[in-house]
Amino acid sequence: MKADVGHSGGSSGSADRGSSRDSASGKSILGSRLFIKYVALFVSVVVLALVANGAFEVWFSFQEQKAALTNLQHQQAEAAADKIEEFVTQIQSQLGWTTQLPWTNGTLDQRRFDALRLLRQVPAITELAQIDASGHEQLKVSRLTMDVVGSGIDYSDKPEFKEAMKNKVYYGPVYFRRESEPYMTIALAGARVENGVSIAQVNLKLIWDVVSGIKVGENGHAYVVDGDGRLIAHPDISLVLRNTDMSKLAQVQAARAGGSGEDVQEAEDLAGHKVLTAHAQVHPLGWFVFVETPIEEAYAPLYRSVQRSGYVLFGALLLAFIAGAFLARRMVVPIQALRAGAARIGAGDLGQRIDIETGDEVEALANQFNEMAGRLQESYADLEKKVEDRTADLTEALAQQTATSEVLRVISSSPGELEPVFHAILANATRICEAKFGVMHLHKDGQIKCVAELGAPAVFAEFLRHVGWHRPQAGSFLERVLQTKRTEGVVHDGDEKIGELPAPPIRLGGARTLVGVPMVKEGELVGAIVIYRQEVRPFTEKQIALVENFAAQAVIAIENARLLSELRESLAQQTATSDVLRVISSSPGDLKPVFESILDNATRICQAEFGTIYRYDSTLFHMEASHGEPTELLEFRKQRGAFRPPSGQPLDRMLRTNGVVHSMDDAAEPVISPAAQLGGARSHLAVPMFKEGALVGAITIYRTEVRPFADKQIELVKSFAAQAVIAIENTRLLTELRQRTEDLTQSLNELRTAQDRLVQTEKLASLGQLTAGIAHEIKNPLNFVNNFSSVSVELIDELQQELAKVKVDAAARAEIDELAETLKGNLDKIVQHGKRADSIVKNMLLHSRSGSGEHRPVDVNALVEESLNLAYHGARAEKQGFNITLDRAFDPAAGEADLYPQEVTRVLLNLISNGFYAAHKRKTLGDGSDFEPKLSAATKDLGDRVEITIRDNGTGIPLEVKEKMFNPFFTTKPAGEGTGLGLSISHDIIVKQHAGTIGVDTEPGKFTEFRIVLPRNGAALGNTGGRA
Amino acid sequence: MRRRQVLQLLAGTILAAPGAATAQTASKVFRLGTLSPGAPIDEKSPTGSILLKELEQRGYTLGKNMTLEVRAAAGQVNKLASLVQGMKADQIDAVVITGFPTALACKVAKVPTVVALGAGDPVATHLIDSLPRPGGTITGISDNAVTLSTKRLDIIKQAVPKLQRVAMLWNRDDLGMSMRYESSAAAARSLGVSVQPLGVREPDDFNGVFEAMDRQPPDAILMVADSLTVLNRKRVYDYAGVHHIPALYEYDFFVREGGLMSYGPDVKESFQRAADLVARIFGGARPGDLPFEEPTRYPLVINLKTAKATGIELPANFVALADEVIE
Repeated sequence: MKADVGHSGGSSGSADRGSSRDSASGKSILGSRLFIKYVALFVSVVVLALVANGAFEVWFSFQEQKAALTNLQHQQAEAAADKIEEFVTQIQSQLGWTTQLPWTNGTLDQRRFDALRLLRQVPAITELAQIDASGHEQLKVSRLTMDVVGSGIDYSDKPEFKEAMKNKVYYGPVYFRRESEPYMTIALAGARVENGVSIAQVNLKLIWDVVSGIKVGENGHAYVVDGDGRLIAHPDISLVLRNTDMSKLAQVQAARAGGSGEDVQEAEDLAGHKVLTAHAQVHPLGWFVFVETPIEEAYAPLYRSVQRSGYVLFGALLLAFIAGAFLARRMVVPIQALRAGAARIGAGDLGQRIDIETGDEVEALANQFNEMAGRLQESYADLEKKVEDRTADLTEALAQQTATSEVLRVISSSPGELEPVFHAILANATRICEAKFGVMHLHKDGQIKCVAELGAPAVFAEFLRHVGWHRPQAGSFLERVLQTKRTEGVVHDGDEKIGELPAPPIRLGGARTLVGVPMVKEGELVGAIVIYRQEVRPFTEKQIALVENFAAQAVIAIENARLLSELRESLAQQTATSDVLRVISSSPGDLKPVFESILDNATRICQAEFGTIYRYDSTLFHMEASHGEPTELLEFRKQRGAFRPPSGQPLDRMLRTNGVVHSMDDAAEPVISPAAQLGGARSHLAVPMFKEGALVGAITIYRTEVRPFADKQIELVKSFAAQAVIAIENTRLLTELRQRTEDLTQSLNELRTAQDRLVQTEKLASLGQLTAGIAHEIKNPLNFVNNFSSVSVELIDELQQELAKVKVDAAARAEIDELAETLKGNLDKIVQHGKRADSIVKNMLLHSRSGSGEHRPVDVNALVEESLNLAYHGARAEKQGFNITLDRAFDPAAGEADLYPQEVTRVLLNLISNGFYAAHKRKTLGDGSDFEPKLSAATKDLGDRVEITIRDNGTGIPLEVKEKMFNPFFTTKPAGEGTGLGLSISHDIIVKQHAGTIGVDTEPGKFTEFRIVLPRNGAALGNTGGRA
Repeated sequence: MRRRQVLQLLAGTILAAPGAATAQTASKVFRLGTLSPGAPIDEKSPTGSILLKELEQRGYTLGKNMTLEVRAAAGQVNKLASLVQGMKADQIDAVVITGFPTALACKVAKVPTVVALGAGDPVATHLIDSLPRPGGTITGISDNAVTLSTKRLDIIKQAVPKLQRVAMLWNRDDLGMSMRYESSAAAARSLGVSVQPLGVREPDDFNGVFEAMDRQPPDAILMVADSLTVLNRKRVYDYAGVHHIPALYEYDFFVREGGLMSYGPDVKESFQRAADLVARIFGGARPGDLPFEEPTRYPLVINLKTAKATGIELPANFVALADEVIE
C-alpha cells in the first residue's frame, strides 16, 4: 500500500494514534471514526461560515427592503395626497370663475350658464348654489333636479357662508348622502364681498380614480380617511358606501395623533391581515392617504433571498462533504494500514512488517512498529521454554490433587462405608506412585489385619486373606512401621532377607521396593498403608508425601464411619423412646398399646427375637403384652395365666435380686425356662419395673442366639421400663380422676334439683298460708250458719208446740204442720251441708298448714277418701260441668299406717288431680263415642305395708314422658296449668320421707295407674330431714 | 447508503418549498345571466358588450371560465317571473337586469341580482332596505329617476325655450314609470308647462299615441324608457323626425341610434359598475352586503345629425352645455 500524507499537521497526527489504538478490528474507511470526525469538521466549518453570511445578508436585506417599501409607499401616499389636493384645488379654482361677477339683475342668465358649464367641466360637483353678499341663495344648479332661481334661502347663518366670507374658502366636513355616497361642501367667496359665495356639493366618489390608480406590488392599495377616521376613498367602493369607520386601526390612530408617518410601519387592516403601511396628509382638508401592502407580499423578495441562501448552503454542504471526504481519505488510508499491521502484530504474527511509504511521521511510526515486532519475536522463544517446564510441574501437581480430591469425593459420597474409601485410596496411591500393588492394614492391640488390597499377586492376596488378625513378624518391615509410627521405605536388591525367610510380600508378591505409612490418630496407631513395586526404584519424596496424605484421609474416613454408626444407633434409640412416649401420650388410660409399643421398640432396638411384659401385683405375674413369641410359647403363657415364677427362673431371680437379670445362654442355666424350652431362647434380658421401690412388673426380651445384650441396650430397656411405670401410673390417675369427676357431676346435679325444689316449695308454702287464712275466715261464718240452723230446728219444734195450744180447724192445722215439717227439713239440709262445708274447710286448713306436721298413725282408707273428696270438689270448683265417675275399692284391712298425713294427702291429691286431668282431657279430645271418664282409688293390705292404687282411664303417658315424669319441673300440661313439681315432690315424699315406693303402669290412650306402697312404720324409717 | 438518503431528503425539502406555494386551485366556471324586459342584453348588444368587456378585465372571460345565459321578455312583462324561475333552475351565479319589474321578479325569486339600469329609486319602491346595506339578493346601480325626470323637463325647457306642452310617453303598467310621470307633471306645472300624458300598455297603443299627438301636436316629447317604449323607440324617432318635434330620451344609446337628445345616468358607467358588482358576487360576496351605488355622471348627449336631418334648431348655449355632441 502506498499513500502520501505530506500535509498532515500535529493535531491530525495525535488523532491517528488515537484511532489506531481504539479500533483494533478492521473497519471500512467510511465507517472509521477518524474519517467521520474529519469530514464533520470540514463540513461544519463551511456551513458555519455560510450560515453566518446568509443570516447577515437576510437581516440587512430585510431592513433595507422594509425601509425601501415604506419609503415607496410613503412617496405614493404623498403623491396621492398631492393629487387629492390638486383635485380640491382645481374645484376651488373652477368655483372661482363663478364668483367673479357681482350680483346684479343682468348677470343671472350669465351666471346660470357659467354654473351649468361648471357642472359640465367639473363632474365631481353635483350641485352648485350661489349666494349673494347678503347671504341669500340666488341660484341653484343641480345635475339631478331642476334649476332654482332666486329661492332666497337664507345662508347667512350657515357655516359654509360665514366661513367662506371670513376665510375666502370653506371646506365642509365629509357627509354621506342617503347614508351612502360621500360628499363634501366647498364654498368659495368672491374676490370682492359683493360677488357673494358659491357653494358646491362635491361627490367624493370621484377621488376613487385617484386612489384606485395607486398600485403597490400585487395587492398593495391606497385609501383615504377624513379627519375623523371615516373612509372616504378605497379601491373597494363598497366599504366607502357603507360609511366605514377606520379610526380603530392603529395606523389611522397614529396618523390622527399627528405622527410623522414613520411611527407605524406594520399594522393590521380591517380584515385583520398584517400590512406594511405608510401615510401622508392632505393638508387643507386634514385627510390622510394610506398606502398599504400585505406583509407577505412586501417580504416576498426577502423569502426568495432566504430560499436562495438555502440552495447555496446546500450546494456548499455537498461540496464541503466531497472535499472533506477526499482529504479525510488521504489521511485515513495510511493510518488504517498502520492499524492493520499493529493488529496483526498484536495477534501474534510477529514476522509481519508494515509497509508504508508516505515519507512522513506515519512512515516513521510504521518502522518503529516493525522494530518492536522483531524484539518481541526474540523474547518470545525464551518464554516458551520456561512455560513448558512449568506446565510439566503443574501436570504432576494436578494429578496428585486430582487423586486426593477423588479420594475425598469417595469419602464424602460413602459415609460410613470404609471399603470403597480404602479401595480408592489404594488405587490412587498405587497409580500416582507407579506401584504394582498396595495393601491396607488395620491395627488393634498390637495385631494387624489386612482390610484392603489392590493389584496384589494372587498368592499374596490369598495369604493376606487367610492370615487374618495377626501380630507382624518381629523385625519385619511392618513391625518397624508399627513401632516407630513413622513412614519407612525399603529398597531390596533381591537377596536381602528378614530373619531366615524373606518377608511374605517379597516372597509371595515379588516386591522389590516398598514404602509403609502408618495411620495415626491422636498418637494412636490405627493402621498402615504399604505400597509395593516389583522393581528396584525408590519412591520420590512427593510420592511418599502423597501416601502419607492418603493415610491421614483414611484415618479421617475411619473416624467418620465410627461417629456415624454411633450417631445412627443413638438416633434409633431416641426415635424408639419418642415413639413410646408418643403412644403413651396418645393413649391415655389404655395400657395395651403402650406396652405393645414398648415391647416392639425394645425387641427391635435390642435385636431380640421376642419379648414379654408382665405386671406384678406383689404376689403374681400377669402377662400384659407379648411380641414376636413363637405360637407354642404364647399358648403356654396364655394357659398359664397369672403365675408365681418357679424358683431359679429369670423372674424369680429378678424378684430376689430386685435387679436386671442378664443371661448369656439360657441353655447353660441350671433351670431351663419355658422361653428356652418352647421358644428356643438363648440370651435373655429381664428388666424390672419399679414404682416407689415396689416391683410392679417386668420386661423380658429374648434372643435365639447366644449374644449378650450391650450395656446401652440394657439401659434402653430400663428406660422403657420406667416409661411403662409412668404409663401405668398415668392410667391409674386418669381412672381416679374420671371417677371423681363423675361423682362431682352427680352431686352438682342433685344440688341443682334441690335448689329448684326449694324455690317451688317456698312458692307453694306462701300459697298454703294464704289458703289457711281464707279457710279460717270462712270457718267463722260457717259456724254461725251451722249453729243458728240447729237452734232454728229446735225453735220450730217449740213453735209447733206453741201452735198446738191454739185452736184452729183441722185443715189449717194440717197446713201448718206441713209447713213446719218442710221448714225443719230445709234446716236439716242446711245443717247437713254446712257440716260438709265445714269438713272441706277443715281439710283445706289441714292440708295447707305449713310444714309436714307430725307423723302419726293414720287410717289409710279415711285418708284416701278425704283426698278423693277434696280433689273432686276442687276440680268441680275449678271447672264448670266437670264430672267423673269415682270408684272406691277400699280394703277394710288396710288399717292404719304411721305417716305424715298432710304429705301423703298431697301426694294423693296430686295423683288424683292428674288422673282427673288426663281422663277429662281424653273426653274433650274424644271422638264423640260414649266415653265415660272414670277414676278408681283402691287400698290393699300387704302385711307390714299398705298399697294405694289410683287408676284413671285417661290419655295415658307416652314412653318418653314416663322416663322423665319424676324429674322436677317436668310437665305435660300447657303452660300455666301445672308447675311440673307434682310427681317429683310426690316421689320424694313417698320414697325419701316414707321409705316407700311409687310406680306407674300406663298404656297411652287407655289408662294410667300409680301404685304407692307405704311401709306401716315408713315415716319413722324415712328421712324426715329431707323435707322442710 | 443512509447518508445519501439523508442528503436526498434534505435537497427534496428545499426544492419542494417553492413548489408548494404555487399550488393551483381548481378553476370554476361561473354562470352569468342577463334579463331584460325588452331586448336581450347579449354580447352583441351595446350594454352587453360593455358588461362582458369589464368582466373580462376582472378575470371572467366568456367561454373560458364564464357562461352567459341571455333572457328577455320582449315587452311581455308577465313572462318575467317564469324567466327568472328558469334562470334559478339553471343555477345562475348572478343576473344582470334592467328595469323595475325585472328587479321585482328577481327579488321574489331570490336570485343573486345586479340591477344595472332603470329600476328607479330602490328604497322608495321597497326593492331593498337601504342603499349601504340592501339586504336580500339584490344590489346594483340606483337611478335617481324621479328627480331626474324633473331635470329632464328643465333641459327640454332649455332646448325649447318657448315650450308650452310636452308629451310624455310611458308605460302605465310600470309602477316606477308612473311615479316618474307624476313627479314630472308636478315639475312641469312649476315651469308653466303642460304635460300631455301618453301612457301605453301594449305596442298597439302607440298608434293611439301618435294619433293623439297628431290631434294636439306637443312642443317636445319626453320618452320614459321601459321595455315597451324601448321596443317601439324607432317609431318614436320617426314620428318626432317627421313632425320636427324635439325629443328627449333617458339614455345616450337612444341618441346614438337616431334620437335627438338624452339626459340620464351614464349607461357605460352603470354597466361597468354592474360588472364590478357581478365580479364581487362571483368572488363570493352576498348581494345583500354590497351597497347600492348611485351614478356619478349624467351626460347630456345631443345628436346634431338628427337635428340637422329633422330641421330642428337648438340654442347654441344649450348645445355648448352638452357633454357629448354627435355630428
